[in-house]
Amino acid sequence: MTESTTGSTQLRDELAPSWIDEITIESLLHPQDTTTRLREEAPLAWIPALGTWAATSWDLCKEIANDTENFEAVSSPLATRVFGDPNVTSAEGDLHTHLRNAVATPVSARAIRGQIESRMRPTAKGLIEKLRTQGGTAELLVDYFEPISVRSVADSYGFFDVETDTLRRWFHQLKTGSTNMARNPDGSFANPDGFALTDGAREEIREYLEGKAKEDTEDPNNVIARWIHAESTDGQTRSIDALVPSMLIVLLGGLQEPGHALGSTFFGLTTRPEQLQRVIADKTLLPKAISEGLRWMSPLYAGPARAAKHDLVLQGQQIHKGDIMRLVYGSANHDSKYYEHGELYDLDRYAHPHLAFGDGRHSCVGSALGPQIARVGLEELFAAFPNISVDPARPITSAGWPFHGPTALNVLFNDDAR
Amino acid sequence: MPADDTILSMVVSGRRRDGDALVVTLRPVDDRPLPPWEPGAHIDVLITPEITRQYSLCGHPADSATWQIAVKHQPPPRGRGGSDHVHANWEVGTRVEVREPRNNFPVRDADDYLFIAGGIGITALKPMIDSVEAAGKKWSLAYCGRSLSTMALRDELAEYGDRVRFFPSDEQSRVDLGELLDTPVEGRLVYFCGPESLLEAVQERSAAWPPGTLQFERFTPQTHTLDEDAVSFEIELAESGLSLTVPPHKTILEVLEENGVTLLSSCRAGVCGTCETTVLEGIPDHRDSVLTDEERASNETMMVCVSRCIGRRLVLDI
Repeated sequence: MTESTTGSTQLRDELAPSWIDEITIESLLHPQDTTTRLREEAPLAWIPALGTWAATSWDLCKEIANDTENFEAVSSPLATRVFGDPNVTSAEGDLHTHLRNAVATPVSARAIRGQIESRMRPTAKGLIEKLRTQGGTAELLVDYFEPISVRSVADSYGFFDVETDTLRRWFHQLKTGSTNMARNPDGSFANPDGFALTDGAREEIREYLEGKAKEDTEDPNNVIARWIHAESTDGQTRSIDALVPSMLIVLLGGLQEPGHALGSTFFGLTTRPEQLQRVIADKTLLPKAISEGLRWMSPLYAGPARAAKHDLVLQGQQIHKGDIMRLVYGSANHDSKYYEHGELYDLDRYAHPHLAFGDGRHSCVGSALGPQIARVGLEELFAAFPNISVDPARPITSAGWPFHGPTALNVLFNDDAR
Repeated sequence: MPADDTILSMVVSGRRRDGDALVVTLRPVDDRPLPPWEPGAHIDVLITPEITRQYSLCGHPADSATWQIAVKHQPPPRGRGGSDHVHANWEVGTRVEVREPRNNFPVRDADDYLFIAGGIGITALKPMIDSVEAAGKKWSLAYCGRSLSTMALRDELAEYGDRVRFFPSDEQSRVDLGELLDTPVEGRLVYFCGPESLLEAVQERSAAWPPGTLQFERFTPQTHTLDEDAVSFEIELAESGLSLTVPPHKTILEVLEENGVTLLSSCRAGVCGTCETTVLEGIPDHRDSVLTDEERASNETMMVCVSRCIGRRLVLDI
C-alpha cells in the first residue's frame, strides 16, 4: 500500500499543472477562480492541500456519483471524527437503506406536504413580525433565514420541544468541528481542540434522542420512538448510538443548508435587480428562482466523498484503491458545457438540472424540504417588505469550503406597505 | 402562438444601413408595451424555422414601443446564413418572431468603466454606455474595427466626444491594450464585447486586474439547447383541458408554471420526488433519479422537472 501510494504521488506530480500545488485551504474559501481553472485545465486533479482528488466538471461529478462498480461512499477522517461512522453518507447496501429510511422518511416529499402551511408558514410569519420591530434593518441570515430553517427542520422530526436558540447553538457547534480541516503532515488533526464544541453538541443531541426514544411510541410525530421500536424486519439492531452519526449529519445539513439556499437565492436576485422585482411581483417565479440560487451558489459547494474500490484509470490518471474523490458540485453547477455564463445568476436560464443535491442513491435527503422552507420564507419576506434592498454600506460577500454561502445579508426595508 | 408564450410577434418598422450592419427597428404586431430589458440583454430571433440567432438589443431600455438590433452582414461560408437572410429579405413590414430578452451580460455597479468593443460587439455595449452616462459615472470607450466605414453606431457615439476613441485598423490605428490595461485602476470595471481573437488579447493584458473586473461577451455560436437530441413535444392536461407545447430549452414544469398550472416542486433536478405527476398516455423519457427501474418501466408517473417525452405527446393527470 505504501509503495503504490508513493508511485501514485510521483505520477500525479508529473502530470499535474504545478499551480495546483499552490492551492491552500484558505484560498478555497473563495473557490470560484480556482475551480473554474480546474474545470478548464484539470477537471480531475489531485489536490495536495486536501489530500484528495477533486472532480470539478458536471460530467465527472455525475459519473462518479453513480458509478457503484468503481466507487463507494466513504466517511472522510473529518466526518468520522465529527459525526461517527458508519453513517448515512458513508454506508452502502442494506445498512445504507436502513439508515436512509430512518432519517429521510420524516422529510420526504410526501411527509412534508402537510407541514408547509400548518408549521412552516406560521413560523415565517412569526419571524416577520419580529423583523417589523427592528427599525427597518436586519441581517437576514441571523434574524430570519437561520431561525426559519432550524425550526422547520426540527419540526419535521418532531423535535417541537427544542428551543430555536438551542437548535441554532447545536448547528453552530457542529459546524465548528466540521470545518476544522487542517491536518498535520502525519495526517493527524492540527487543531484537536477545535472539536470541543462539536463534541459537546453531539453529547447533548444523543441525550435528547435517547429521551425521545423512551417517549410515547404511538405519537405519530415522534419519529425517533417509532423508529427505535419498530419491528426489526431488516435484521438491523436499532439503537440510538447507531442512529446518532446519521442524525448529526442530517441535523447539521438540515439546520444549515435551507438557510444557505435562502441566502444564495436572495443574494443572486440582488445581482439582477430587474429579476428581483419580477419575483417580488409574482411569487410563482420563486421555485425557479430558488433552484437557480442553488445552482449559482451551491450550499454544499464541495459535495460528498467517494473512495475508489480498486486501482483504476480515469481521465488518463491512475487512481489507487482507497483514494478519495471529492465531488465539487458547486463547480459542476457552473460548467460551461451546460450553463452559458454559469457564473451569473439568471432566472431566465434555459433549463438544465443542477447537482446542488447530488445525484443517485446518496442524493440529499433534504432536497424536498429545503426548497419549500426557502419558498415559504421568501414568499413571506417579499410580501411583507416588497421594497427590501441590500444595505449599500454593507455589500454582500460569500465564502466557505466545503459549505459555501453569503457571510451576511444586511438589508434595509420599511413596512409602509402594510 | 399561445403554446409558447415567450415568443413575440414583431414587425420591421425601420431599417437603415450603418457601417457594415443593418440596424433594424422592430415593433410588436399588437402594439402592446414590450417587456422590460436592461443593458447587455439579447433576444433570440427566429429568422427561419431552422435558423435562430441571438442579437443584442442596442436601442434604449426606456423605449417599450420598439426594439433595435444591428445585424452585421456575414455571407457564408463565414456566416451561417442568418444575416444573409436578414439583409436580403427583411423590409419594412416583414413579420419577425423573437423570444423575450435574456441577459447574460448585466452591468454591475462601479465608479468607473472601461468599455472595449470589437466590431459589431459595440451593439451590446452601447446601451450600457448610455446608462452609465445617465447615472453620471466615469467611463471611456475604445472601439476597434476594420475601417471607419464599417463601424456601426459611430455617429451616436461621436456625440460623447473624446471619451470615445475609434481604432480603425486600415488606418494603422491599433488600440494599445497595454496603455489601457497594464495598470489596474481601483473601482474600475472592464466590459468587453467582440471577437474571440481580441478577447484573448484583452484577457492576457488584464491578468493583473482583480478577479471579476473583466466582464465579457464573446461571439460564439450559442448552444442553448443543452441536450443535442432535445426536441419539442406536446402535453395535454386531462383535468384542465389545456394543450401546451414544451420547447427544447424548457421543462414541462416551467411550461406548466408559465400557463398558471401550479404544481408543488422542490429540487427541480430530479432527485426529491415532489413534482411526481401521473401519466395517462404517452411514454415519458425518464431523467430523474427517484423512480425505481420497475416504476420507470410502468410509465405510470414521471418527474416533470427533468423528464421529457419519447415521441410527440403526453397526457398528464393534472
